[in-house]
Amino acid sequence: MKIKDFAVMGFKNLWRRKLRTILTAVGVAIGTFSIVIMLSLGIAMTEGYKNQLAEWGNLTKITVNRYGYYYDEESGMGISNEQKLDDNIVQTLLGIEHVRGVTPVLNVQARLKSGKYEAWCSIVGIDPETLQYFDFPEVASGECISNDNPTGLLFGQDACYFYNPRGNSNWENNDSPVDLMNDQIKITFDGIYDSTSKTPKYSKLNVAGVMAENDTEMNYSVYAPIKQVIEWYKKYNPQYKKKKELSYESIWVSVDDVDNVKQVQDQIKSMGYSTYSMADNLDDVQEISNTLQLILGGIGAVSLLVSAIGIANTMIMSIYERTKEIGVMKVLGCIVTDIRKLFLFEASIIGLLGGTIGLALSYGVSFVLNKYAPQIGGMIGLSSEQAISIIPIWLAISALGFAVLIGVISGLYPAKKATKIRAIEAMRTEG
Amino acid sequence: MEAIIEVKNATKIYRVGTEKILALDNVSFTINKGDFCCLLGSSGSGKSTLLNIMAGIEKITSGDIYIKGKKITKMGEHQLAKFRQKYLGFVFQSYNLINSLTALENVELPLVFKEEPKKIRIKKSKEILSKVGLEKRLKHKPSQMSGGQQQRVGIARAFVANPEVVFADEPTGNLDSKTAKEIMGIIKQIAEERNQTIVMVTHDTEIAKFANKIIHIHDGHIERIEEEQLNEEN
Repeated sequence: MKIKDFAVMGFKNLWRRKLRTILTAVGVAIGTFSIVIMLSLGIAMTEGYKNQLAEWGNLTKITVNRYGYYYDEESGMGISNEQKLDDNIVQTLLGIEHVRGVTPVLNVQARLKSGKYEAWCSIVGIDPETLQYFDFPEVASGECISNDNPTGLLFGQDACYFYNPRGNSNWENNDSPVDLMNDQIKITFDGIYDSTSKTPKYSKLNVAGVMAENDTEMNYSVYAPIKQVIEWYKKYNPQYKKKKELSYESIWVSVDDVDNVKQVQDQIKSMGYSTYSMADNLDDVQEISNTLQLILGGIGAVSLLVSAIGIANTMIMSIYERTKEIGVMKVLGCIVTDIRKLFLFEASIIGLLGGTIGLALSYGVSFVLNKYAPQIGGMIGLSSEQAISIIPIWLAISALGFAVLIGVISGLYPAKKATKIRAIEAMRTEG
Repeated sequence: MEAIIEVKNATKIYRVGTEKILALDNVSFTINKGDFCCLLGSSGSGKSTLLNIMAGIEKITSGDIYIKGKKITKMGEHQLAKFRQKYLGFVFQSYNLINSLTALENVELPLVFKEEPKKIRIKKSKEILSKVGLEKRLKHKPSQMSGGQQQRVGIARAFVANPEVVFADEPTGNLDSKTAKEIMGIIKQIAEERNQTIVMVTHDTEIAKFANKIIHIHDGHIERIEEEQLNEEN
């Protein structure tokens, strides 16, 4: 028999016993629904936490700070120590497996002036070629920093707060009075580290671009190519002037995948550096959410198991009713494998039908939860923007696949039983 | 004359508890191609058992059956199913149509098992259904048809794959005598047109008259064989 013929016969057989088919499918639907909804809650929980972490910073980023802070197990105290960060370390870190980019980071402070408005800003020097690895927001106007334009600065949307030192410090209409891209702005490094009263020497500010507004720290910083920042640092930083020794503020390391962050971080730690990453927090969350999903999924799995027994029961009943029919099919030349396939097909269709109903139900309930539960959650102080149930496409597809699989597995025994029916059953006159 | 079915020393013993019942006792005979052969006997004579064994529906205790020179008593289930698809048709006493399928779909069934293309299946099924006079009942379900009509569907189903041998087990057993004669006429006509062999079981001597070879069976033995010459006009 061909697939299409199985479909025609299978559907007719199921349709003949609509009520039973539908009741059995509802069993599968409830099982699928429980698993999908339970897992969707767990997924949403993990996702929510990940988003929150991502808001605070890049999850694939490891930071090595000049002033490292680590937990000393012997004394049970947090200890801060200074570690010297130079280009050798940058090269070493770049050599670690799974590391795709490393940049030294150095800050200089500056003051901006535009007409009657002034602003403070901290310029962060980074290697422009590694920009792509650190999740920078897209450039809304102008262009990115590059070594071709060494003094060009890239501004975060809210990096500088321009105020009028002699007037009302509040902005009208909440808009910055200075347009970074078009207004004339001057910059100075004088009078920042030392409060000498000499008149600051201004030069023209070179704005390369402004980034789109976003939720990360990048929104509040100004970036420049590291080479230029080093020059400014050497020229204006009083500490450097005293010691003549350069150490970067920190080094950013970008890892190719969140899953490899821990491995890389451990390796850097074994080299004697203390590190920090957002992913530090992720491990615990992952573990908790895995346990949670296992428990929730387990509850759903029990109901799916019950529905599997339901399918098996329905199919066995069907075989008793169709004993003669199966005998007739055999006499008419139906091969045994076709009979088995027909029963497996019917069982898997019940699974698919139930899975589809269950999935539709899940989407509905998920929608309602996301729509109304946050309002309740908001009342008790939870974040109201976060979805509390997420059904990713992979979950939907695997739920359907799983429902069909349950159908096939529950159909195995009945199908085998059907093939054992002998052709002589066709000759019985009763029934 | 070409022998199409050979029955050699067929013996069938049923076990009922510890008792053994001898249903067929060392029966041997031959049926030629184109024969309309009737196994005639009273209830419990062993005629149905003989038919079932000849069609491979029941296992033989000892002896052998050959159809078209193939020893069907040694075939496995899969082989036998393939053999049935190719060479055998079947008409049942209680019609045994599949209730959820229409007349046309019922007739198509042997061709579905044979995996013939849909177009050919429908063409062949419609042809044979109009031959049995049901061209206007294609979409009817068995429950919407009379016994005579259902049996005509059964006949169409038996002949649709153009088998060489058609087995019929009391095909008129559930019908009144007028309809029974019509049904017999149809079977005989189709079989003669295509030079097909019919093996039919009946207890009705009137029905047996349609056959050209009558094997009288009594208590698992062949009592006697009546045979008239085939195709007198040739």
